[in-house]
Amino acid sequence: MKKIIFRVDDRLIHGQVIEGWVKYYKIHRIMVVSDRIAGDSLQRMIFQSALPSGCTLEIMSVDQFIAGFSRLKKVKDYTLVLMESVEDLARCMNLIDSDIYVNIGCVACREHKVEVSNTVFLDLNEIEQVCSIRDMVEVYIHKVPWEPSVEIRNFSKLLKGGL
Amino acid sequence: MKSLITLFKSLFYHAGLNHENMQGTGFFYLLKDAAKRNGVEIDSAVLENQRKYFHTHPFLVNFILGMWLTEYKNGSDPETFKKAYSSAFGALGDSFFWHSLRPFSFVFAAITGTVDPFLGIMIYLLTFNLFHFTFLFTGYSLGMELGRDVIVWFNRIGFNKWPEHFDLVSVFFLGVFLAYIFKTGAEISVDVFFIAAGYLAMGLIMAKKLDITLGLMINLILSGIIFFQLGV
Repeated sequence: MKKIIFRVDDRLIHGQVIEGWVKYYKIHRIMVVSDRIAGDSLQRMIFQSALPSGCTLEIMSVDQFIAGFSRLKKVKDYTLVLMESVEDLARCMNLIDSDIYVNIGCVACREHKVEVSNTVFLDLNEIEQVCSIRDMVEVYIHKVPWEPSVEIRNFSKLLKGGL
Repeated sequence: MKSLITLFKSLFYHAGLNHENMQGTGFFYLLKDAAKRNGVEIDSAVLENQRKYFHTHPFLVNFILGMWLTEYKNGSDPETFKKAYSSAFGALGDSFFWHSLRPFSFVFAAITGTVDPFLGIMIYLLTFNLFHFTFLFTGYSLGMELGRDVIVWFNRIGFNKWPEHFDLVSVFFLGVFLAYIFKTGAEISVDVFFIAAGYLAMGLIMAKKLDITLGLMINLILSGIIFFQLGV
């Protein structure tokens, strides 16, 4: 597994992340990248309280994350970067290269969204954004490490009228 | 009494689980009922909105329910905190109830089960449900009392460290139990010890590198071949 994991998960820190990714890969460093949470001290405390001991959590806005990313590339330990939406991931597109494992874990069902897997529901915009990231690196739907991952390949069919 | 009714109703909360709105239907059901009992008038559009996607640990949902009602009564925005708490409680609840309390209860059930199997089952149900029902019972009133600050209570009891402590106790008693079983119930030779250790190591490596189910299947097939060759 690559050392830096970008995961889109609109629940951010929850059971699958802690019991799955964090414990499986013994990840000690989690970064939550969200403009919504970065500015709210109580929400920061709520997420901080959900972590097991030995884990450090950094919460920052998307712009702060982009600005400080070069520092992260030098770290040799596993780092899990959690983003709330595909849109946030697309904003970080210039940072993505083959050293990063890009993973869509959970995007909730909302109106006008298409079921891509049983945990991932995307609208047309999000599908286009994922496709453009897919042009650079492989993108996977991967709930928990011990379950098989699904590589996203055939969204172009959806874009050509399948929606 | 209100906490007791909420506890009973929250046992049905998880029944509406589906991939589209996860437990949104269950939360809508609980909130509508709790608001009625507390005399809180919730705007119909806001209430209807509760059917949307929501997912948390089912044993901690009453904390969110109480928090939501208090924040709504105070005129603030409960939705922001509902979302944050749903994720955080999902993490805390999964770590404690599923990954620590379940094995913890199992170890004590296994130990007492050697005396009497029925007692073992009872011990499992009692140990697990003591925590299950306590959290469901106290959750609603604590959520109502503390509102958006309900996380402070979890920090005060150090809930995120409970899984670690429970795991330590479980592992200790599992070791005692296995040692007792080996001492009293099996003829352990060096051969048997190394075969068992080899099986364990192979299973763990395959589960880690390949897949848990595939690892189990390969182990079973290999066992079948070995037993067949040995004429068992």
